[in-house]
Amino acid sequence: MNPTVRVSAEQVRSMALPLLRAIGMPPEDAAITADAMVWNELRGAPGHGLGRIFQILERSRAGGLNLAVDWTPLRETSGTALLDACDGWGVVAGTRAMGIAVGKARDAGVGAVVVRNSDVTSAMGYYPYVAVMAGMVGLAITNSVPLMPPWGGTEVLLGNQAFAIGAPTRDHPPLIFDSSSSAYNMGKMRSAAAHGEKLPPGVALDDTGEETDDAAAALEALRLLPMGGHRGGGLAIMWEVLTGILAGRRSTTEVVGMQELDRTAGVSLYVQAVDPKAFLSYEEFLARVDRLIDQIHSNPPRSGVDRVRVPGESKAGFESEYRARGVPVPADLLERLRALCGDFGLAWPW
Amino acid sequence: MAVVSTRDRSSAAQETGIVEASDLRAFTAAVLAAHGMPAADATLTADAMVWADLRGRYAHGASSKLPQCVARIRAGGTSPSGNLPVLGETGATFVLDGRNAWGQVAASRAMMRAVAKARSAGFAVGVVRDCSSAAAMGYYPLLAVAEGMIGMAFTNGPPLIPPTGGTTKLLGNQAHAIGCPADRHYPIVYDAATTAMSTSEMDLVHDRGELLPPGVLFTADGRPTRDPSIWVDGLLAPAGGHRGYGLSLMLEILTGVLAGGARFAPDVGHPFLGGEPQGVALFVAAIDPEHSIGHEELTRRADALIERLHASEAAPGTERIYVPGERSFILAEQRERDGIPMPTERLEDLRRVGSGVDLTLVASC
Repeated sequence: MNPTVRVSAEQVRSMALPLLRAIGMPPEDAAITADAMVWNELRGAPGHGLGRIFQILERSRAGGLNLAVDWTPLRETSGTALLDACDGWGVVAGTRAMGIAVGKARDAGVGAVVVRNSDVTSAMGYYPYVAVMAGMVGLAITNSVPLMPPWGGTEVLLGNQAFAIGAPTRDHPPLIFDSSSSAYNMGKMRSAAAHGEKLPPGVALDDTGEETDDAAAALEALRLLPMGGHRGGGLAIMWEVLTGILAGRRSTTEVVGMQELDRTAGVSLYVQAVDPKAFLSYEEFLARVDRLIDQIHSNPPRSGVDRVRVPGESKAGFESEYRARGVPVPADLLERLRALCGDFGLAWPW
Repeated sequence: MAVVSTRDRSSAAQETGIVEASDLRAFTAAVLAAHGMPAADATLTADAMVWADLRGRYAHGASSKLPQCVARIRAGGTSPSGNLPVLGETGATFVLDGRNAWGQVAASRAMMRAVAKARSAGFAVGVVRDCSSAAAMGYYPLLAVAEGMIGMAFTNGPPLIPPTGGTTKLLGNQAHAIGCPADRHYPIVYDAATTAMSTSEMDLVHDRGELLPPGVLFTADGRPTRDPSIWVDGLLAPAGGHRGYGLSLMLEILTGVLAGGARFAPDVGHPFLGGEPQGVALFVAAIDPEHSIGHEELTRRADALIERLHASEAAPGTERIYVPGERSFILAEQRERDGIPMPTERLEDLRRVGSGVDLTLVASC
């Protein structure tokens, strides 16, 4: 068991920010990236947290990731923008795109921004969260390196097409639904393989194209099945339309995975902000969202279920605990970060 | 609650008549007009209903929806008027007051308004509050597609699914559709419910006298069932488990919550309760590619995606890979040419509602 050290959100940020600056990110982009890492660490998603610093370092050194990006949109209208991320870090692309969409929505009521040539986008939930913090409903969709065959097929062609939608609330934590279009996401697949668990039906194919319940074979073959069968299969195609097709650069099998350090990823994003004030009073909107959440919480649970939850609620639970007690960071990760600080001649921040 | 579901159609091997699509449109529009719907709205509605019949989706077609619409107008739960006041708007948004209008009128008008706004804003969103069910959602994105745009249409609906882990119905199956224009191929049109199986698909299973696959429907007290006739009282399983639940919830935020109408979530009414306003809400959006990559580039790229999908290797036992909406377009094209086969019972339903308005059969078999 890898020991962990409890670290405050401020300490997470104080480690991330100088290292990202030292790696070569401009100050604003480094701040965006560090904030997203803090958010993910607080929500119990360390795979999108501090460890990504090494990915940024390796990908930028190998040439797959560009750290010097001009974030001026290529084209704009009152309600849209087209942004070229020029192979920049996906978190910066997604956050900046949502910021632009929010700005449009302040004037026009809604805004949609499409991003081309982005690096991998990490956790999608963060981008709607950016809109939620501005009092808006946010939607973010990404394509990715191919992981799924089209429904009825065996050839891996579509990404697992992560998407997230978030809404502001008054008395509850913000509502953030973050999902992939595959039945299982990669994390769940790895966890099943690590624990030797069988997969339920409808999750993955093996390398012969037959459905398998063997998580290790599924991980080897990397042919995920869509959530809800043909439903997720269709959604994955529409998400490719809104990302890879509409952004006008790479799509489907032209998108490259993050393990190929020296190759640019060519990911596309679609982000959208909707200002509730264009449709009803903000107070009324919040009251209605809260009422819906209350209705879910008061739904009588099935036997064996303690209570009925809204999407993202367990992550919000991590956040309240981790804000109070600190984020558990593996001791060996802290050691690697400390060593990296040494390499850059940076003092350990705390 | 007095629940009147579809009549028992489980007698297999039904007799069939064939009706021309154009005749069915004219008939449907005439019946609607006879019940007070303005001519332009009646034409819109007839087109949307027959669109579903052309695709074999009778539960959303004229033989199901026309009697329902007429019954609702007579009982007072639906207004025949297509007058939908604009409650508020910006350059890229609008709110329409549905005033219990028939959903197919409301959704068509909303999408056309979104298209007009997207022409200058690039992207536009409209919501409709307090209308009736809008039936097949795939029709509305195609109104945007016909103008060279990407269209989206979402609706909420009467409660059918409990939240994951729960036992009581709270959310509708939230039909949602997205369409994208292509050039050499049919447009890509994704039209889905958030449940593992849609209610109209369950009706078709019932029509064929078959049983449901396991895992799509549960009785009100949570036991699995394969009986398609009880969906009105049962619990529907969301597609992909918690993913389908989460999507249902977020679609409720974008429709019922955002539209600001009298009802949302579990308070939305069933269409067969004719005297009661349903309080359905709609969200429509249009994206004009002219402001980003251009229409030609979009359709060229959509073609390339379709061809890439067509060329990809099919699983054993699968004939080939189809793009969302493609099978329906193929069927619709054939039926537009050869006529729409319609079970005799459904033709009788149409004749009954059309008292006085003539429906000509091309052939019966």
